Amino acid sequence: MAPPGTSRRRGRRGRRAAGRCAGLPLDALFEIMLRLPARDVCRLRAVCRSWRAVASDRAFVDAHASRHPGPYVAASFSDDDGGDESCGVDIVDLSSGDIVKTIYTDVSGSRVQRTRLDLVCLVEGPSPLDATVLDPVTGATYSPAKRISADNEDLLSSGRLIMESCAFGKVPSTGEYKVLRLLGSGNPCELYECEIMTVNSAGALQWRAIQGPQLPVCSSNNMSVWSSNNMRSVVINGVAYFLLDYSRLYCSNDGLLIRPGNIVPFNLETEEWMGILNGPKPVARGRDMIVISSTLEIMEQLSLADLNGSLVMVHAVYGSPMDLWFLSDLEQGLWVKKYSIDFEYYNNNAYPLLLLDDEKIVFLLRGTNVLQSYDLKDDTYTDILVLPDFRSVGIYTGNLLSLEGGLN
Amino acid sequence: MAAAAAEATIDGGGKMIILISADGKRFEVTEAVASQSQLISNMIEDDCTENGVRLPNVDGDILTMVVDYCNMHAGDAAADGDTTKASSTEELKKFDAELVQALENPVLFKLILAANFLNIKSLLDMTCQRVADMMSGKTPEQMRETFSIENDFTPEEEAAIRQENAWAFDD
Repeated sequence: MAPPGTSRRRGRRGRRAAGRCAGLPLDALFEIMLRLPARDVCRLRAVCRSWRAVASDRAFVDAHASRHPGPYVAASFSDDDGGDESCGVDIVDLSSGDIVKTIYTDVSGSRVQRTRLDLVCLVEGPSPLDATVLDPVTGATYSPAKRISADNEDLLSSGRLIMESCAFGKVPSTGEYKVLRLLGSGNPCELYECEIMTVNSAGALQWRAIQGPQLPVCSSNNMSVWSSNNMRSVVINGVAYFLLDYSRLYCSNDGLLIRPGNIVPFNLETEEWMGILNGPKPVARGRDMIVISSTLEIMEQLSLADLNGSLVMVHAVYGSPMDLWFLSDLEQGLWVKKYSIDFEYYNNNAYPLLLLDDEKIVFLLRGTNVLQSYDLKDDTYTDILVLPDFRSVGIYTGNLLSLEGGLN
Repeated sequence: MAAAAAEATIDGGGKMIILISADGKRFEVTEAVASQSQLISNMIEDDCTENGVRLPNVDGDILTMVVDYCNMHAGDAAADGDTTKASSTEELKKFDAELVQALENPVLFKLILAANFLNIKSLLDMTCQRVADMMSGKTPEQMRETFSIENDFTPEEEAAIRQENAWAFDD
């Protein structure tokens, strides 16, 4: 009988182990290191050559990731130690609540975009027009050399200029990362200027002016919605979805065509705006009765979310269950209501951040800054984590043990 | 598998199989006990245990421990109804703790390799966790001391590795 389970890879490692590290065979080390947190594994790389080889091996790095699936979030922090301010981003394992990595940056006061990627985008820092991309693996940051594209330079001297909205995403076909931003003056009746930037590790980053949206999209600027937990744009699978601003329909003739819940998608690869996508259905209260209320109130009830790769429209009408509509077909504009959460407490204060396999939804609560997991079966909830700021958190999908960063 | 487990419950042990260690020691165990090893469980399914199972990379003294462990934990894997044979949870915890705490490192490492080779998940978890606890929070220097490892990096190489993994060193 051939001894089972002894692949050549293992055999070779076993022999080398005998010579170098007295006692601890590398096959055993492989299994042991799988059970250590990423930080300990990185320290083990400095012990000796053969340990380093195991800890840096692709097969080990992948095996470690599947054994520690998280999920992970990236959240900004800012500690003020008597004038000596330090700030940065923490990567937190939601399954344990442990901070697995702290990355210090010099982008103080900035907010983590609510994305679902292996890179982190920081906005609203010291200069409010800026977007800085951080790679949590290497700690490297990437930001554009110039604040604005050449085409829009005159805007800098035209008075008030703010970043109304920002979207950060990855183009699946090319693996490129792009930041899209909408610039405005704060006047709700003006359409935004639009700029895009491809993020790469080589060469200077540069904003490029492109065609803006032809209809008013919702602003997510901190001045206008500082207390809101709603997300008005989300990037999924290379498409940025922006909720149209129904409350600004009076601003343009075309605005009359907008209905609450309309979305305008933008293709990050072709850099083109796509046709309007209808929302799931009118926002209703009680038994499908359309609410007659102020347009602002309607907008407060709508939010977009990325739940594990699906575009979700959140309807949170006060006094009714929170409905989560999943887009099942982009071409046809088909939505499916997968969850209706009959828990008033969540309305208007909660944003669904993540879907866990076992019928649990992780909610982000405004006010308390708590990440809470809600069990759909038992109708119970558990606090996971208190964040410094509920607005500054994203899902982190990268692997902290990988030797190269997300940008290659 | 379901059939084998059922047999074992009916006649209180089921078919016996022989495990043969690297140094030729023979251990007679029930299929139910041996099946905690995924490797042997697969062999039982494939009907290739007739002439005994040779384990050329597991020494007799290590196999003794593995067999003890499997005998002790046979109740875990067996059907829920079979409470007579199952050891109490308390007893098992005590047994497990004593098993790993008492071991010298070289023996512990051999036990890990055996658990890995035989694919006995609970034993592998327990033994690896014991060593992982020894490593947790230690500096590379302390690690080398604990496991008698010679530092074969040049100072420049070590500095570069610490630089690459700098976040793991700052406290």
